[in-house]
Amino acid sequence: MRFRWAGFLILALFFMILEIVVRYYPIHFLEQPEIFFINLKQKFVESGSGKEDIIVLGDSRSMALPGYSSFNAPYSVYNHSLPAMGANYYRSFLDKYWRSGNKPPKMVVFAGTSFLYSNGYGPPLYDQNGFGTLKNESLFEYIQRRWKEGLKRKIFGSPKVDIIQYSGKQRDRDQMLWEFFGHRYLHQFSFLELMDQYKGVERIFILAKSAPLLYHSYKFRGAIRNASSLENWSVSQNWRAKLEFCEACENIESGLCKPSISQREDNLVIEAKIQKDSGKYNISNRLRPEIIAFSKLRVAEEYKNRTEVELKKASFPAYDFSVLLDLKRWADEKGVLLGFLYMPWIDLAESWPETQDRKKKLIDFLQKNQIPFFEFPAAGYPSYQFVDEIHYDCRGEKRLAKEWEETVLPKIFSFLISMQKSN
Amino acid sequence: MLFNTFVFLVFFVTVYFPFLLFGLLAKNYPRLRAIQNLWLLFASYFFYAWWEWFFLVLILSSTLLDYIVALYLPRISNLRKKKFLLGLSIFGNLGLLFTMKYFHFFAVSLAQAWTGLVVPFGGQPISDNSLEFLQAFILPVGISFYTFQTMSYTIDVYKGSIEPESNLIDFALFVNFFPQLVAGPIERAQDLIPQLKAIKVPNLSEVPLAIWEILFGYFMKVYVADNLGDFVDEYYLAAKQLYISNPDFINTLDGSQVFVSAYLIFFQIFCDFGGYSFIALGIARLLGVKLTLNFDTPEYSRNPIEMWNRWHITLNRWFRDYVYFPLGGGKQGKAKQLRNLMIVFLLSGLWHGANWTYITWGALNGFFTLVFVLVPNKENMDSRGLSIIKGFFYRWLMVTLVGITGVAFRCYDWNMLVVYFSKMLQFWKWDFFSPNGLKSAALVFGESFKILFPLLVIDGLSYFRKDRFWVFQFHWLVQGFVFVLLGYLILTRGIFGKEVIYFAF
Repeated sequence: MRFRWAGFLILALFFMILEIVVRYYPIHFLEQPEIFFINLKQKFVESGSGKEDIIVLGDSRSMALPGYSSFNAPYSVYNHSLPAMGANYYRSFLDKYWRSGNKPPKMVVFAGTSFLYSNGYGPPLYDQNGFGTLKNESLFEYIQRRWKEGLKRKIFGSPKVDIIQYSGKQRDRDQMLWEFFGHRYLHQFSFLELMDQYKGVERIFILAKSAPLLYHSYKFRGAIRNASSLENWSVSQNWRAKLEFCEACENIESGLCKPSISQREDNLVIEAKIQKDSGKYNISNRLRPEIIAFSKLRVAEEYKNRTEVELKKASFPAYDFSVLLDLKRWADEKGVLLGFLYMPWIDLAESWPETQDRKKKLIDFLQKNQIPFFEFPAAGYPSYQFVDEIHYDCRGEKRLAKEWEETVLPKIFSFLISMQKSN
Repeated sequence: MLFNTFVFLVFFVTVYFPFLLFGLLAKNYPRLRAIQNLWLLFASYFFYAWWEWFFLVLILSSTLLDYIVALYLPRISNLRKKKFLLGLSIFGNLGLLFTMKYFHFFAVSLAQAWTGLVVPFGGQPISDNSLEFLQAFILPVGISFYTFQTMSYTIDVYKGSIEPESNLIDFALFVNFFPQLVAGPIERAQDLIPQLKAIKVPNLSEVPLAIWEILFGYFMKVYVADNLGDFVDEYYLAAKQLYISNPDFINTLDGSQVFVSAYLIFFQIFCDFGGYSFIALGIARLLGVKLTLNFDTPEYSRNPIEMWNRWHITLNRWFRDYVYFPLGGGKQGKAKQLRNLMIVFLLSGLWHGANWTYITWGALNGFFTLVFVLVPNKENMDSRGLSIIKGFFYRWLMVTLVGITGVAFRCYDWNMLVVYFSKMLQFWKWDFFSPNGLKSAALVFGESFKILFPLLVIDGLSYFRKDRFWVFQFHWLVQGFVFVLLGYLILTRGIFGKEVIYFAF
């Protein structure tokens, strides 16, 4: 019993050294691709090296839009779309972009999916049921509400347990959503940034989630786990050749462009691809061909069935475009133009009355607020050009890029030129 | 508030420093001892109210009832009045437990029996709608633990084993002491109250032991139990609601999968509850209080008696002291001893929950124990080699048998239980690529063993060296290696924020 503390000192030393290594070594290259991608974007934005005239903001679908350097276009374009983080994130991202010393863009193009702009801010991602907190609720309001709910919910109300299955796991829906989305917030924004972004009880919730990540060994624990396998360190000599090779849909569809089993090589390829295409990355090109084939069949069947139901709908929900309104206010305040890009969706879904109604009301809203509306030649692509409800397959992506370059971007450039002339 | 969340860390740090300050100053200013307890009591109420403030009403009722009854008991000489007062306490506590935990079970069972009786004669069945009110009662966290603890206090005062506690704050802290409030250990008043009444400052030599308990507890809970839990969920579904919406799921499992799941359930429950108990022990030790060990390497038990002296020790002690012994224990002949044992196991099953699956679990374990008691115990004359082989076999057999009863414990209803038990009795296919799309039994067994291996080594050393702090007897480099290994596994492979299974009991 003489050396009761010695072992714990070794433990403390181990975690201190680990923390130093994690802070100074680019450990995110050993993380799973999504976390890597978020960190890559965070580091890019924080470096202050952004100098593009137009930036695109959206979700994992709009990540398929390529950017352009000003060598081959009148304006440079960079795609800063990220996998969806909820409606809250756009304004915060732009603030961060502005604050970090990047060159102010001339225009921001919003290209998110409908639920990110037409449903308001909704409940927080970590508490979709609103079970624990409501949006921007003050501590006093929270205590009052919980006092009333205490009796109602715990004695005479059924418990809200909503277990769902996803990716081989079974969790409560809120917990699963938080596991799915949470790391995107927490890796993109620091503790102090999150403190600024939220109010009331919601701030306490999000900071409680963010505080453990101040210890970077915890933040990058997945990378530390991956680092223990030599396989994840190996990088083949010709990994850059994969970039060109995987431009062709034939190669992707034949399963030759699956992610490398080495996490580091996979992330190096992602980084090089993003640099090459100024922010573009079509995440569905990573999937195995058999999964894509199975998923396409499912989507086609599901949307066919849903269409029969949707076509009969006569009443539609009220839409809340406050996210776009806040973006417009931000843009006006900073002297930046804001545009809206309507991204193509599955053609069957585009024919639904609710989609049409939403689009009509969206255009009315945009006109009223003087936000230019841009769209592709076709608002809907056939379901076989999607791998799921949201993401394009390789051929859908190629079509999108072509139309973006030939039809949409020229309109955006013309608009920007006309606006600059009028000023 | 769960021990395995960041919120608890903030809570504990906030509580701990004023606690230490009061404790250190109390040596010179004795009145601060009361302040220290008041502070701990406030923290404990806050800890409990984190789930729902309304639960406080229940625990306060139980606290006040037993405080008042115990105070009056020694003042009354009339035995009938004393019995009435004791009955009042037991009725109050069990009434609380019955209302919140068992009312639904008995009412629905009664309604189903009624429907079965009257419908053949043209009567009206009781509809689901009329049972809706009953189903709305929600089980408050830890109610089975604190009601049993307070009841035992009043019974001990009644028997004259202990004096009643006159200080309401100290008594309330005994009922609500936050490290053991929601999942035990169920403490005896004579063990806990004197410690709580003293000035509490942890001895510096105890702190490393506390840190080891906490580290080992987290390792068991967030690494072993919660990783095994994902495998168990695959074979059993994570919630009853999923089972109800996929009723055919249970028919797709192979017997091999059910059999392997028995081991998983054994270790998941052991590490989930055991891990939480070790964290409780460590936290209490940091607060200068020594709690009773609740799990003592049960996986190395060679027979049922040893198993139940090592598994959920404080609950089994409670049943032994307040049910088995009062019924006569083993002093009134073999037949009555067997009856008493069976009663204890059935009650233990019912304590876990209002469901026939728990009662079956209790009955099966009771049956194994009865068989063991009936088999004559021969003196060990085996050679060392044979003794090792037998020891290995008996330990494997015990984990297997208790694990198989765990299948009943984990099933959602009687139908699932019957299907899973019949699967184990049918021909096993051991498909490597399971047609049901679930991980094969062999794969799950292999992956689980990798998770369990460090635990088996650590517990094996604790068991055979008869010292759960064995690590401190080794060279500091070995200590460092063990701590770093556990810390690394917790950090990189732990699953944080999952509920504790025994919160539901």
